[in-house]
Parts: sequence; structure tokens; C-alpha cells
Amino acid sequence: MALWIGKLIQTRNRVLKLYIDHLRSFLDDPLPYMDAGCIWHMQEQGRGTHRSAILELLQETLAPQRLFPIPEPTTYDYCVQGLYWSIEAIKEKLLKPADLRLGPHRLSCPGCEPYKRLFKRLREVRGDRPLVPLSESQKVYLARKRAESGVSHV
Amino acid sequence: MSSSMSSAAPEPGSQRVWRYSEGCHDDILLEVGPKRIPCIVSLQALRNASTVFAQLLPEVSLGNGYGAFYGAATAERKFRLEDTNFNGLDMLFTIIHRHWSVPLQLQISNHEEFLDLSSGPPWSPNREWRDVDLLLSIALAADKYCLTHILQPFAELWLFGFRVGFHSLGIASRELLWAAWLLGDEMLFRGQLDDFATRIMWKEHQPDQYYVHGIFDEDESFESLDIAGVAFRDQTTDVSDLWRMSSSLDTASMTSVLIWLCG
Repeated sequence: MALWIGKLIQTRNRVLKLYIDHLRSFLDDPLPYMDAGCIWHMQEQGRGTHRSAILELLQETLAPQRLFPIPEPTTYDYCVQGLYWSIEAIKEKLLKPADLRLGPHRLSCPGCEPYKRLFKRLREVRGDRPLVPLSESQKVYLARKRAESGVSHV
Repeated sequence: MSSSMSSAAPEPGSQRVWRYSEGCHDDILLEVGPKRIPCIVSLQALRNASTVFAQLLPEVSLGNGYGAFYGAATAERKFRLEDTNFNGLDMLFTIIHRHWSVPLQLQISNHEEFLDLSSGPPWSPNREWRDVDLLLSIALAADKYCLTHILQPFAELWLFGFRVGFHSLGIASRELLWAAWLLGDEMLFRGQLDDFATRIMWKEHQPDQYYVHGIFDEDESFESLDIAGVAFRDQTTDVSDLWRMSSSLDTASMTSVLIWLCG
């Protein structure tokens, strides 16, 4: 029993880590989320720059969702589904205000959409893959029961 | 056919008799559970359907021929079945005795109404109760008595509704999780597992304690994911020993001889 619960908790923490790593990676260095042609103005660091504006706005939006400072999976007290909802809320807040607040920069660089790229990567974390792995013996058991019950849905 | 299962109106003070078999020469009286719910069943039908019943119920003399036993269960044809899962057994007995009024769909309805057996069997046309609890009860009983094979083709039809109703909506249900496991629906089982994994969160102010959001209350033990000790039989386990150990019907008591899911 404990092993089984442990497996679910491990899955929770693994998936949380995938999400959290993307957020941390973006805050550490947003350049990989830029188009090559847009990087020039993001490289400029310091107060008032495009880069700092984007990062500050993201931090401000993450904080009320208990995602800034960036938590560890084992210290984040909400669930994966809750994190997903938080990200959706953040997305709603960020995408339009970002356009307004970063207007001049946005106009000067129409291909630079760091938030959209961040959310695209976050969306890909979950994907369609099953999260909890099944062992071979479990698959064998399920196949046997499927043969007995006549269930065809694999 | 279902009318053949409904007993005559019980006399005041007497208990309703569930007649799955009528007039057969090998009818026996099974008293099920702590309430000793009386069920008239065909001994041979049960023995033929299940290796567990074949070992539990001895062959008895058939008496004076067809119908000799009808309506008068004698002591030697009276057996106790210590199992509180009457809802599941009820459906299995119905299928075994070929009462083809078995529902093709189980739907979500009211739990309290389902538990009230006095208003008739769960699949009566006047009852709305079709539910995941019933599905699990059937799956548990079928697994316990090695009768999963008789659920063809109903299991597929029953699960279909829950795939749409629960899984496609992202609703996690521990009952559905274990029903899918016991019936071998791998996709539904995986989906329910994923739904559980994505809802695990900390208990407030108790950083080492988890619970599942939307499934358990915070004061409910996460261990209750293990429904009534649902566990999984090793293929080498002697089913008759298994049944005797679970004769108190508390399936949790079986866990010591069963393998857990993480095989």
C-alpha cells in the first residue's frame, strides 16, 4: 500500500518539477524562449529594459499563485491540477497586459512573444502520455482480467 | 424473467426471500451476510459457474427428484455465506441463473436509495440507481468468487458509460479506479490513476501528509484510496483459503495473503 501511494506521490512531484523547471528556466534566462532575431533587445539587462520588464511582470503574476519565489515540488502545497489552473490564470493576466505594458518594445519586435512560448512549453509538459507508469506484472494482470471480463478497451 | 425472482409478499415479521431459482431439484437456501438475507439458488448453477462455489458448497443429495426441495429448504440444504456485499452477489446470482434483465447501463444516481434493498433489486425498472458503487460491488464480488468471466458482455457496456461520465470529464473516483482494475480496463485505470496523481496535495500545516483534492476530505486518511482492502490475488493463491480468510466478509482481512498492486 505504502509503495502504491508512494508511486502516486512520486508522479505528482515529477510532473510538478517539469512545470516548475520551465518557470525557473525562463526567469533565469529568457533568451531560449526568444526568436533568434528578437534576442538583441532581450540581451540588454538592467532596470527599464525590455528583459527586466518581462521578468518583473512574470514575477508579479506568479507571486499571488504561490509560485514566486519558485517552490520545489516537495514544498509546493497544491496539486498538479491546481498548478495547471494557476498557469491558466497567469496566462490570462499576462498575455494582454504584457502587450500594453511592453507596447513600445512589442511594436519594435513583432516576432518576440516570450510568454506565448513559455506557455506553449508548459502545455507540452502534460501531453497525452500516461503519467503513472505500470509495471509489466500489472499489465499482465490487466490483460488477464480483460480477457476474463471481455472488456476491449486497452 | 425478473418477475420469477420476486418473492411473494412476505408475511409480517418474515424476511423477504430472494428467489433466483424456482422449482429446480437442486435448489438450496443461501443465507447471505450478517442479515442472513435468504436466497434460493441453484446449487449446480453456482458450482458450475465458480470454482470457489464448487469448493464452498458441497454436492448434496438431490432428494426425491425434481421439485422435491422447492419451497422447503431443509437443514442440509441451507448454507451461510458470510459476505456483506449483497449488491454485487445479487447481480452475479442473476446472471448465473440467466435472468436476462441485467441492465446494459449503469448510471450515476443516489447512493441512499441503492442501499435500500426493500424497494426491490437495483435494476428494477422503477429504480434509478445505477452507479459506480454498484459497478465496484459487482467487480469485487466477481473477483472474489472467480466469476469475472460471466460479466461478458455486460462489463464492456457498463464501463462505457463511466468512461464518458468520469474519465472524459477528468473526474477521479476511487470506486471507478478499482472497478477498472478488477475488470481489466487498462485505459480507464491509467486515466483514473493520472487523475489521482494530479490531485495529490499537502494537508494544510502538515507538510508530510498528503490528500487528494476533490476525492477525500482533509481529515480522511489517504489510505482510504485502498477501498475496503481491495487487493489483488496472486495467481498461486488457493481461492478456497482466500475465501475462508475473508469469510467475515471484510475484504481488508484478505490483504495479508494478497499481493498489492505494485507487483
